[in-house]
Amino acid sequence: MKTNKGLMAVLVVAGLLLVVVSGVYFAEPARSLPAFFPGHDSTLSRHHTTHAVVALVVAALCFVGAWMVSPRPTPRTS
Amino acid sequence: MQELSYLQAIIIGALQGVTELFPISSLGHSVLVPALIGGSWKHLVTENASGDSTTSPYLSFVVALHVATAVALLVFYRADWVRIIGGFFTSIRDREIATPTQRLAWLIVLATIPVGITGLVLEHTFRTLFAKPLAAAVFLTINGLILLGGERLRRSSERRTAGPVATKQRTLESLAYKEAAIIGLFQTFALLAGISRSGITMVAGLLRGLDHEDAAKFSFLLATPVILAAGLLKIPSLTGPAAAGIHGPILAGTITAGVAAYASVRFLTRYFTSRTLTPFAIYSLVFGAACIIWFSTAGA
Repeated sequence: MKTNKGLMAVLVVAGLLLVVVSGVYFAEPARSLPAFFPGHDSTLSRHHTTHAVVALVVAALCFVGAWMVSPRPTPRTS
Repeated sequence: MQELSYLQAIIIGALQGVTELFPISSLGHSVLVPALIGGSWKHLVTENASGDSTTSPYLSFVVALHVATAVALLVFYRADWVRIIGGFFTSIRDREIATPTQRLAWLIVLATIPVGITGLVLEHTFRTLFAKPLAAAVFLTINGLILLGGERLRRSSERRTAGPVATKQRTLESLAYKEAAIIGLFQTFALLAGISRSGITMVAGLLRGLDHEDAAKFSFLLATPVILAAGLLKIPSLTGPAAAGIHGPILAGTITAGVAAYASVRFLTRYFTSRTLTPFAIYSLVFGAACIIWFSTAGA
């Protein structure tokens, strides 16, 4: 696969952000989520586990994508 | 709380199994048919539009039906899925997308991300706003227009390209990643009750130059992870209080849905080798329009 450092950086940042988002969904119940988060509901006390799992899966895909477009190590020549 | 009878479970299971894969909207039919029958069936629609799967027995049942449909698709395309999953992991190992199967695996991943995220964010909003009989009837009519429009655009595009040197039909693996993502975006419209997921992705595939057979196959392959994930993530609700006392009907409906879905995908893959979306477009237009008239006059 073609090396693309720009895309790699974008995918790594997106992946890290999604890991954080996933952590927030796992840790906080729906009523304590930041208001701009999808699923925020001031009356709901349960956790949005589905949102957390999906964020984690997409984060994993971002890291896989980043790894695939990252530069390959060049074989050493003696 | 409304109980689910065996008769209701089997009829709704059969309806779900068939309409999930035929391009006529399973969600639309799961709203329209019970509302047309009325009585205790109508109550199920009310639950469908307002509840969530942890509190509504009907929605727990719908979750089980979706898992059954996805399992039927997995069984039917089992050889393809073994190759696709293998291709996905070998492409990661080799850090290269070299074979058509590896490419197909990544096309499916890219096309699934948009609907996965949008579905999660907007599904509840769309269901509570639009999973109502009149709205579903309007969207089913629009679904008919989309199918008809897709066929017309495809035919006119074929006429344009059929010059002295006719262009060959594209294959599934020749789709660009951007095109796969666009087809995936089209799937998000299927969150509206009445718009068919398989129909809209097939139209998107046809407009990108695929033939009916490949467009249908890509549509069914795309549907599998979405339906399966949506169902599996909500499966714990089947063991909760919402499903207590209706495990028998849920099992009967689930088996019916699985068998109906398998028969449907078997029929449709043969059908689309030589035929078009037009009959499904006509059905959606006629049934949708009839339902608009019925529910408008019933509400007046």
